[in-house]
Amino acid sequence: MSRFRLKWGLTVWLAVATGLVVALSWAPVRQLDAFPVILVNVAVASAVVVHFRLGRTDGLTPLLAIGVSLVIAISIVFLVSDEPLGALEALLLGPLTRSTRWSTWITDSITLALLGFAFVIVFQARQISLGADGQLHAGALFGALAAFGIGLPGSVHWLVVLAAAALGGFLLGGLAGVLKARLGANEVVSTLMLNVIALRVYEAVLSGPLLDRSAGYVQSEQFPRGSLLPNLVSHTTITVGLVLVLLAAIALTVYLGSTTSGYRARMVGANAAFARYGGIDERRVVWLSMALSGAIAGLAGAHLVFGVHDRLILNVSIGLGYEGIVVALLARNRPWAVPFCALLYGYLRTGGQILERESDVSYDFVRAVLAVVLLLITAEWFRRSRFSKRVATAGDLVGGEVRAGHG
Amino acid sequence: MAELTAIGAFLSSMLRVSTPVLLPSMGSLLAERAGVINVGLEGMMLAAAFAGVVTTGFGAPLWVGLIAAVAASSGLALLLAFVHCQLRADLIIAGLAINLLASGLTAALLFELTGDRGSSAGLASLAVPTLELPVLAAVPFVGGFLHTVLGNQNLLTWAALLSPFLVGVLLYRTRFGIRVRATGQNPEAAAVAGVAVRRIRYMALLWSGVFAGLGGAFLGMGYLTIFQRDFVAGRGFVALAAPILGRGRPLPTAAAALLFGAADAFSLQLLSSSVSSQLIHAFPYLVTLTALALFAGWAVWKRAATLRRPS
Amino acid sequence: MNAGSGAAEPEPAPALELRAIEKRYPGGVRANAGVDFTLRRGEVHAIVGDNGAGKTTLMKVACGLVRPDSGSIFRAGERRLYPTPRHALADGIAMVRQELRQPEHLSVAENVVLGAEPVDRLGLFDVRGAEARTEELADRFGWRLNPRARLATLSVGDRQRVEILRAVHRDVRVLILDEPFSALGTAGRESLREGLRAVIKDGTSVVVVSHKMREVSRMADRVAFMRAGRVTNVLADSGEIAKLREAPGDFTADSMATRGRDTDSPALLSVRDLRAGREGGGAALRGVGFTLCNGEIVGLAGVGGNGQRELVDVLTGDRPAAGGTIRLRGVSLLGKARRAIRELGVGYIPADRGLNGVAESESISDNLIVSRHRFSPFSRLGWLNHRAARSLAGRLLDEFGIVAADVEAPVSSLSGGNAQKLILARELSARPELLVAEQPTRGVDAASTRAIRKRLRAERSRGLSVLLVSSDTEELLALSDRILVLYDGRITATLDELSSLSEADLGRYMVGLASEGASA
Repeated sequence: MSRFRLKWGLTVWLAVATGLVVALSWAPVRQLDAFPVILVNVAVASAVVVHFRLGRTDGLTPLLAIGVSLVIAISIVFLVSDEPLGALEALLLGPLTRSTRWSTWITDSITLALLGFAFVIVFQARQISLGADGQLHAGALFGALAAFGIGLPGSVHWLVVLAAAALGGFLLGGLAGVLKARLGANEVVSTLMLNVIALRVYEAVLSGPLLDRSAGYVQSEQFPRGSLLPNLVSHTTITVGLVLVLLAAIALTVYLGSTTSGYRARMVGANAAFARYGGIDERRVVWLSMALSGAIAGLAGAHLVFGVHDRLILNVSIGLGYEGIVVALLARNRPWAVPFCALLYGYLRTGGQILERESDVSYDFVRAVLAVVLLLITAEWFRRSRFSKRVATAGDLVGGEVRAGHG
Repeated sequence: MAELTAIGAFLSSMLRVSTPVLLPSMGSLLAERAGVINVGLEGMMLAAAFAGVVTTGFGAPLWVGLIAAVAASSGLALLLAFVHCQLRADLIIAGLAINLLASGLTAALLFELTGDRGSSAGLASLAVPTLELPVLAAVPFVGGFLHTVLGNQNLLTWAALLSPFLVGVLLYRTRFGIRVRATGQNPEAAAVAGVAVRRIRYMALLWSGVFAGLGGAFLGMGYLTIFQRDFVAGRGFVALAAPILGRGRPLPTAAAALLFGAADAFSLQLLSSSVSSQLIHAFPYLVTLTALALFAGWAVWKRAATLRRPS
Repeated sequence: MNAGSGAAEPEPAPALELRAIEKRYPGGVRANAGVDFTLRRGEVHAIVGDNGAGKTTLMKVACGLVRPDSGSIFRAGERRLYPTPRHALADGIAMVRQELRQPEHLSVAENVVLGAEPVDRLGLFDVRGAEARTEELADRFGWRLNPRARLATLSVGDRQRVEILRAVHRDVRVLILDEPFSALGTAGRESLREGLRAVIKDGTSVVVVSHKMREVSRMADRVAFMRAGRVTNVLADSGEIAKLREAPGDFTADSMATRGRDTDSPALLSVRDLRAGREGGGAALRGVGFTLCNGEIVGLAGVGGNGQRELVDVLTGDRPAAGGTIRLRGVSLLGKARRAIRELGVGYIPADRGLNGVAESESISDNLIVSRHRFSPFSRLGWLNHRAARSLAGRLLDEFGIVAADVEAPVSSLSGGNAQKLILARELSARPELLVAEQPTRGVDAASTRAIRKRLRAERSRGLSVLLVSSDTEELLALSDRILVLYDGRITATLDELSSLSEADLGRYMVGLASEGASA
């Protein structure tokens, strides 16, 4: 990571962070219709930043990927819907129309950004850990136990809850990390397996000890008021999770760029054999990066249940744990770019949800389209411009990554 | 005698619940031997189950349903192979994308076609028949036992039981198999020897799609006769683990899949007890994960031992 | 077939013709600078030259392993393009490479027929047929190979034989052998020549790439000399070729510098009865012992597969030993982690730069601090000091003459020679007492090679001890004060008197034909 990009990223972030905090704390703005206008500006700024900062340096065009998927989405809308124009409007402009909607957009983007960070950490160390979904559930569960189990004055209870959620994710991520580092157990398979197990345990606890028997369906009682994440904007679900995202962006940028631990993670990611050769304890990097990633995914879980739903519910993630990968890939693994990309991706997602509510097009179509986004951005062909000269290498011979094989 | 019957019933149930893992694990085995990992098995099974249930539910005959199921999963496998081999996408992430795509598309199409969001309960879809073998009961001494275990299994379970042998022949007794093994072990060397590495990987992924399709078909047209949203529930991921546990050989891989099946059958027996059903459903996955960890640890220990104590 | 035999009939189109082949590697090394090469039908054409002269690259172009930047390939008079080795094979061209990369878990027979497997009537792979075919082909060369053995259990020489059999099985018309003699003993070389004669009788043309002039002179019809990416001369006269046999030695590059060794100083490194296992089982080191004093360069000579890999791994802490001792100034290194060994003063230049020598995508300064990032001035309390790393990088770029755009440029932007100098700079700047240098000039251009060797000699006179691990006889003789020969897991010879030793002599030691007592 070049120093230049690092500094640039930090500057942008500080500017955006201050701007947002000022905007949100300025009372007139909070009540006025001007708020969506600010949000539009944020969205446009994200798009511009993502396009120019990431697009120019690496030839990546995340906007192109999103553009292609928009075309697909629009075609589907025209195929499926009886009233395509209205549906289209819902998809493209829906997230800005009402305060509940843009707050959903921002809220979803916060979750996505946190999950994106989780993937950035493991991807930097080149661990294909796919455990964010399970860690999210572990975080939500640990948070819930702390919320119901520990009685604390309101002002700090939510901090304890966040810490517990991070711990839950940390432990689950660390477990997969230790299995990989100590025993060499393939992390792709073990994290996928742990996801299934964590989800089942979450459901077991939710439908057992924590079940609210007075409710008509499977959910827990509402969390104690003090354990809920404090709101930043009243009458919305925008909570301190937003601050968490900003902090995480800065902390991760600093961690990867300026600490010895982050340096070791980068070296292991760039070339593990080289890192070992240089005396870096690869195993420590592996489990630590997977555990840290888990902690952030745990925070994402806490944000979902303590910031959005205010209780444990079934189907809390619905694939979000995997969609964080899209955000990390869109951001090309740069922490400072993650929030922008989360906003972009979150916009599409929210548009899709509104589409379902307002028209006859199912949100599941949008999920399929988002999977296509993932397919597109992971394709190297798409990433590399056709101007870059290809060199005949072993990779050319075999087509695709040799690394994909594993043992 | 009653115990024997109980054991027989357990084995029969084990074979039944192993089937949707055993079949895709054979596909996964082929892919892994070719040096590619098919994370998309889960989605491919889902797509296959959906295609089979929906086509037969709308009146198509059974064989059309089976073909549709295999076609749907192989189609996704082809897409995966294309983005990996041609567009050079990262295979693992592309596989995940296939899972998300299948999950979204099946749910959306289910709603479009039936108006139901959760399952295909409104459709009268067909089931693959079971193979009744009353003959087995006539075998002296163990006839009753044999009949309990094997006498009433689905055709696709039989296919699953035969599949390790088929894959064994494929891997060790065909040109394709030799090339798959050469490719998986050293793609560059295989390329130099004149093996079309890319084509081999295409084929291996495609085969894994076919096996996933049969596994998915069993889920929707045998194990159950209904399609439910995301009801593959991690079986495709277990299929990824099986070849690792089986060290890339067909019969041990099948044994790993059967181990999962045994754990699953065992947990099904617990369902009536007071233990939370969700925890019971987690049990087979826990067994698989533990096996994976123990196996990996054993390999690490063994390597250190050979280096420290050369014969 | 001699060029001088004036044939009346019109000459048939050459089996293979390369015209104006131009190849520049991403690092900037110009491996082939407009090379022309013609291979006639049924001849043995040798290409000799230094390491890095471009011989291997030229042949990789011919068999589809490397795509040339420009130039054209003609096969039997027709212009061809070989995007992959498969296309070249289909056109009857195969290459047996020096670094053998083979699917080791396959059997010998499966390896031989890979790509053109026999099938029976049912369309299934015919195992018996493949085994019979392997035996038949091996017989033709007088080789004994068990077709059912797994390749992993075979010696390097046998594995090379399998490669040759595979090419013969495919009935190739152009057979390219890259350094075929390096892993073979005298008897093996003679049987290889016998076998090749049989192949040539069938009309196959053979290219032998080697730096062993004596060996090629025994069988070549023509000899091309390559230097710095160009063909400088082609000998076609049998008399002249025969004269090469009496040539004093093989290729030697720059002259040896003054040597000196402080024999009175106490041992810096002492290795006793070192034993280690191999991955597949079996012993790689069977009791290795030697000492290293301050201020000497000791060459550790050996052909791949005889235990150098394992010895280096054990020395640098990457592999456990099965027994024995390693002491550096009396401190045991066994069982210590890589980091601890480095901190005791052991530097290491690895053999394969791309594999573990550098992190190509990362910056020069990040690459330089890998083993020292924990220490002041590069970090304090877990925080990196980028400024210190950059100033170190700037200083080392100057001192070692490394051409780079900027200290923040990724290492992938450096040429091979500059990247190798970067590794040398990194290891030397950590001020080690012992430097384990594995093939320190492999794949490096001539100027950088000279610079690296000069620097190593200079450091030696300042007291650094170097363990030079190499299979390159030229390099071993150019740098070492004395040479230890590692053969089959043991030190079979300690050669102190190097001035009279030729590369060919050293080569004999390395393949186990000579050992101590029969010293040169």
